[in-house]
Amino acid sequence: VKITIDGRSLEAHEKESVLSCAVRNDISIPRLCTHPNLKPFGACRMCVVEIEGMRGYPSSCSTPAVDGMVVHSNTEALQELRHSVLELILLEHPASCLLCARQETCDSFRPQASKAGRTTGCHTCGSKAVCNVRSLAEEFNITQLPVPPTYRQLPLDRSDPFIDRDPNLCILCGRCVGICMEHHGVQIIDFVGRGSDTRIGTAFGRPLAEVNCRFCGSCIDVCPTGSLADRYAKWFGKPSESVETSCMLCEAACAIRVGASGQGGMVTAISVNPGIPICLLGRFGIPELLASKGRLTVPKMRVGEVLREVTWEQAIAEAAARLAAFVGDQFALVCDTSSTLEDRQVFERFTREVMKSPHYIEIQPNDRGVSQAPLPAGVKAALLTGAFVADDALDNLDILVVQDIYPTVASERADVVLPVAVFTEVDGSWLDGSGIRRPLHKACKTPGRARPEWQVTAELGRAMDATDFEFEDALAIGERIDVPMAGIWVDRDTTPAAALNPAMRRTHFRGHCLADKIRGLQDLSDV
Amino acid sequence: MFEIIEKREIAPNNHEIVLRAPAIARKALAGQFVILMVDERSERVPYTLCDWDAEAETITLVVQEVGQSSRKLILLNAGDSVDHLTGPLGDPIEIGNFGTVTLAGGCYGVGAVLCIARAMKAAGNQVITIVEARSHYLHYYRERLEAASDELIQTTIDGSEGLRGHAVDAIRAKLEAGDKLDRVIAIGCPFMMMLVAEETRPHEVKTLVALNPIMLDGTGMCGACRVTIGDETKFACVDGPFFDAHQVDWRELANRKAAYSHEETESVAHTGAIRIK
Repeated sequence: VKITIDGRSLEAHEKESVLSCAVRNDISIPRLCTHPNLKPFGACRMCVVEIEGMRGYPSSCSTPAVDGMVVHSNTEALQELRHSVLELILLEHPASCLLCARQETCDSFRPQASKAGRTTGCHTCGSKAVCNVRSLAEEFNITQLPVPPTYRQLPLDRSDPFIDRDPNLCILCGRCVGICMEHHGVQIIDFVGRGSDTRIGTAFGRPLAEVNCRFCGSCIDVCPTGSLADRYAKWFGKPSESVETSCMLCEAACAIRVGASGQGGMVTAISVNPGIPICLLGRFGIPELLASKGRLTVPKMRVGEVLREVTWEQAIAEAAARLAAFVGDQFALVCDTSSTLEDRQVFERFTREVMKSPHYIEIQPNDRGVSQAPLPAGVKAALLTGAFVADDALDNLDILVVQDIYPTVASERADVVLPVAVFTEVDGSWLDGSGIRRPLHKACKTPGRARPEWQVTAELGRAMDATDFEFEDALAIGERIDVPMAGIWVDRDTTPAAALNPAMRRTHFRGHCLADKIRGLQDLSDV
Repeated sequence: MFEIIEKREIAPNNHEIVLRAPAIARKALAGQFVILMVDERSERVPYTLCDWDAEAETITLVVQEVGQSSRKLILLNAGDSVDHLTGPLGDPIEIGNFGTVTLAGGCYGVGAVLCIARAMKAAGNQVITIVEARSHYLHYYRERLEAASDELIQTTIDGSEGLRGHAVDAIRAKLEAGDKLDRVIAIGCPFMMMLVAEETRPHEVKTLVALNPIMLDGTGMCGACRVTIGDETKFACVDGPFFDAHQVDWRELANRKAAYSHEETESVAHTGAIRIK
């Protein structure tokens, strides 16, 4: 299909929209409601164009290119029209900060948005840095509005798990409605009401959990304003860096993009592929699970009755000295598959070569992520990497070393506690449910003084005079693993089971109950 | 326990809270503040007294939801109680016949200038009250401020009502018109007060601001609220809250207020769904 846009002869694909053809050829047309993952909707009227022989101003997103079509994308009339359309949008979107003459002074004096309940301007909006309305208003250099704006004073909805909704910021672009239909084939949210009372909501205003929302978060990811927001992440600001890695919360190993703040703390984890939703644990749970204050952050050893904070050198020396008396089958190391393949390789070698014990126990969690194993009879010393062993089994131990991410009954009773970095905090790899080796990339800082697991165990091994226990990094260990490395699973075309069926979702990670760490899970079960 | 008698959202995100606090209502003077703890584990937050009624035994605060503690407070309703309330704290504003007194209020400060306007007017001053907001729908207390002042000027940064700009722009217009301002008192966020201070400095207009750093005990013991005035360290709770605006180290004040911003964000982030009974 041959069309002409602004005097340029272009080749459009069969059934391609005028907008898509223009954008593909670097012709910029302003747009708001359109989104790469969505069918054209034509709601916002920002992408209007003139087409010779056609009446009025059709929206380029919803007009298919037809052979011989002559399109003008940037006439004076169009500029004026788009300007007016944007003004109308701004009249119902709290935008006064955009019109403020002191924006720059304000931003430099107080760069952080204030954590307001009701957002009444960009300075009180968690989505300031990513707002499409804001960027368009800047592009159009809108400095005043023709009439006073309206604030609708609709009630905020902060009662759902994970998601905050502020209908007062909504511009009715319909992206959220579209992505919900696209992903789930059902309309969990839709346009409600008519005319100027139209808003986005659920049937009869029922809570999201009651209308079968799966909390995939895609509606938030496509929202051009702060109307739909990730409750946990919204005030941390736009992540300054993002890294793609694999999710370890179940064997689907979805590709996730982890965003970290300037200080390196994890802020968000979202699906790498916006076309495929991930489960609520992957979309909402990871930052809260790993970036929480409750993490183990410092090495400790038992001095008399109490666990005392010590240096890594002291903790490793203490663990080495105490374990040395239990070389042989009195020792067991218990881990599960939430440690990377590289970690587990070092664990296994430590158990067999350094501790000379047959009891390397690697638990495959059950389908809810629960990892439990009994300690073999006669074991008097153990190294546990999570809450895997029944509390009463700990009574029979003479020495207990725990390397974990959260305090547990075991860590409270341990002789040495070693804080470790896991999952989004480390490089490495692990096997998904089909046995494909998926890479893990360090995407955020490690909490406190925590170290990668392989590093901790390797140091312990060296402190016990192990030979050939020097490893440069996880990559070097990984080279000895006899499974080819695939990429992260970006090109997935099916929704993971855990995203469709709550009964397939993990309840535990590394022996820790997820609902204890992730606030939204508690809200979900309270519904 | 202190009972909430009345609570309403007087402008988006601005909540007027009337509490039963007989002892405070009997003693309160314009410019003083209270420290409030919503529950046993909440922060101690200073709030400026906007109004009080000794007979009805009530005090009135204007609270903006800007974080965990203020959120806890605005989610309460009439009939609920807050755990602790201490006050009146701080030195009241100096009341006298100064001539023309200009009051500038922004955010919660719009409510806070109300009682000062009344007291200044009663002392024989010409009272000009300037209140700023982002947009017309964020203005509140219009009638009450009008009644308490000789002139009320509203500003909005989007120009939707009154003068376009901030309170400082109204002050600038007055100064440029050659109006004699004998005293300016500004209450609001540090940004707003700083702008006012910079404007009046070259005109040598005596300007007082109510500083609002993080406070703990409010009685001069802990030092959490220290501010630098000229080359002296002062405690905003007992030496203030009013200080000479031209002597304030604004950058330090803003930095000190932001000292726990990461913890504040974390606290809000880990708070789950809000389900109103």
